[in-house]
Amino acid sequence: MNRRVVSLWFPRLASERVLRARPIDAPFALTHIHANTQRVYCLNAEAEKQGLRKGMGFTDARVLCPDLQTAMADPQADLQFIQTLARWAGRYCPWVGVDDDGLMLDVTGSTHLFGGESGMLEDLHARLDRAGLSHKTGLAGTRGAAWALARFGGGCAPDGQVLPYIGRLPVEALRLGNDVCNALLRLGIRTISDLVALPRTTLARRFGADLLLRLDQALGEQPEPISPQSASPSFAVRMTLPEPIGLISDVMAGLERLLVRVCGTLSDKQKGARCLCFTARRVDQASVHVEVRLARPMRDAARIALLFERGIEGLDAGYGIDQIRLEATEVEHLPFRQTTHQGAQEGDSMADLITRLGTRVGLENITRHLPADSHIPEKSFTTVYAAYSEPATGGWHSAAPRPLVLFPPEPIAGYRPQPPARFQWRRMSFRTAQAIGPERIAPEWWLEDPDWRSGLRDYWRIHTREGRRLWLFFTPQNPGWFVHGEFA
Amino acid sequence: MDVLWMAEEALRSAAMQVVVVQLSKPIDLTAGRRLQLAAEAGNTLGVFQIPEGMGSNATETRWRCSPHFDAKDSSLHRWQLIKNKSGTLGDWIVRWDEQARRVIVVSKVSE
Repeated sequence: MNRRVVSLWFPRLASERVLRARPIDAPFALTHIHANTQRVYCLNAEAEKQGLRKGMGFTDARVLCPDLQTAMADPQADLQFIQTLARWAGRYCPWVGVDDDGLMLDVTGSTHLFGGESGMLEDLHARLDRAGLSHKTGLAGTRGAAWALARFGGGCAPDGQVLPYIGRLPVEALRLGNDVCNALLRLGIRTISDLVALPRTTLARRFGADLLLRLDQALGEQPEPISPQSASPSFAVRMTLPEPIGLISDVMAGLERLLVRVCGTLSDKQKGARCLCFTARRVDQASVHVEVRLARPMRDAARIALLFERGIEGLDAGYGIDQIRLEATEVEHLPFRQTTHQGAQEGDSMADLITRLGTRVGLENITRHLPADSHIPEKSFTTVYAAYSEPATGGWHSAAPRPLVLFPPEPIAGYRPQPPARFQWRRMSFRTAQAIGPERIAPEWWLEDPDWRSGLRDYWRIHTREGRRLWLFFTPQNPGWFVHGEFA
Repeated sequence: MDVLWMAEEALRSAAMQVVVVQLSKPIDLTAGRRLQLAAEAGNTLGVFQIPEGMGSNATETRWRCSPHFDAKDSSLHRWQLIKNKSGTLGDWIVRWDEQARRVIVVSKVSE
């Protein structure tokens, strides 16, 4: 089966996107700042009739058309809009690529579903007209030819006949750079058929290989694939309500219905939500958000609903809510697991608790300690975020007992290597009853650590007659005694 | 107070066996009662470290723990029950057994 490609071009995409939300029956233009000048970015049909064109200075446009209405351009939103259109175009064929301000559809083998090529184009035009988007389509056997037809008048080239249809088009239709086009025009080569008539070797020598590549791509001598959009699954659903609601129980009921749908999608894709955002649009057009960050990826609707309760209670419904939307803004891979006879997975209740605490104090404030591989007492543990880590599987190992409390070393008097018989610490005096040690710990020489500049440490466990059991160390290379921790 | 709210949630959820809280201010009767109910609902033990003399009146028991010196055994603690609503006060010397992972009461006679 021969390849058939549809190129869709939206000549006034940006302005029509804005006008869809707020129709204006007058000349309208979007402007942007380019090279420190405000310039016209996109126009509607009315404004084009007045003689305005894209790229002209905004002040010139104002002079030509005093009643011009304008807004600032938003290229990011335009990009999102064209992505939406690409998703929509998936109804015609699975291979849809975005092509700066248009779409490229590889409709090979799917036209018969719409009653042939003409039937499909009719359907496409009717739907885009209804959406209020001006458009041009080109249908041809190659991507380059379809692009050329769409940009220069629109049309349909039957199977296997490209040149008769694009031959009359100007050379710009070949997607060439401006300098190449200008050079060709200066030589009097205006149309594609003029170009085809010339010998190829001289063309390549004079204009480079790019010109021939583009020509061959348009004529189908060279293949050119369409890179389809990576299907980014969207985990967002919304519900529009016929009557505004305001009761907590009603909002929760709506949320539960949305959650079931989102969790269904998540489960299909083997994903779990990490962060969910619930948006309620109120009657007065304001919208309120509730965000829940989960301590572990989840797709269990009933459990997530419980975690939303606190946020929903604090929601200001105003005069009522008429649309609710739920989106899983962060998703992570969550493969299926074999269920156990115990039902709930181990650690689920802990994850729920972390989530609930995290919604109030922030997930980054909930930490857990994990054993670390170091002899240095301060480095024998690490503090990690509880939500992004698993509990340690191994235990805590240490050759010698470690104190319950560890504080920054506090110096005490004494310069001899033997433990002092009596000493003052924190304005208390102690008498040593028993000293166990020394346990020598050497600094990690491969790491620069300012706390260990004093060199080796000999640690002693000191039992005082007063009852407290302290962890002292002596630094033989730099004589001095310090209290570092306290045992239970 | 976030600390008390978090303590209450943690006690109620039954996800943990023991909840340890360090407080710097005395808690009032309402907060104490709420924590008590939460601990009963979750069947969880809550341990509150409070500064000396800042205990709540509503508490069931209050303990003072301090290390205890003994020439023979170096890991003794002295646990004093300084408030008990439903019994008498007491004073025990205990030892933490590392292997058995439990606290063993040492008879005072050995002192």
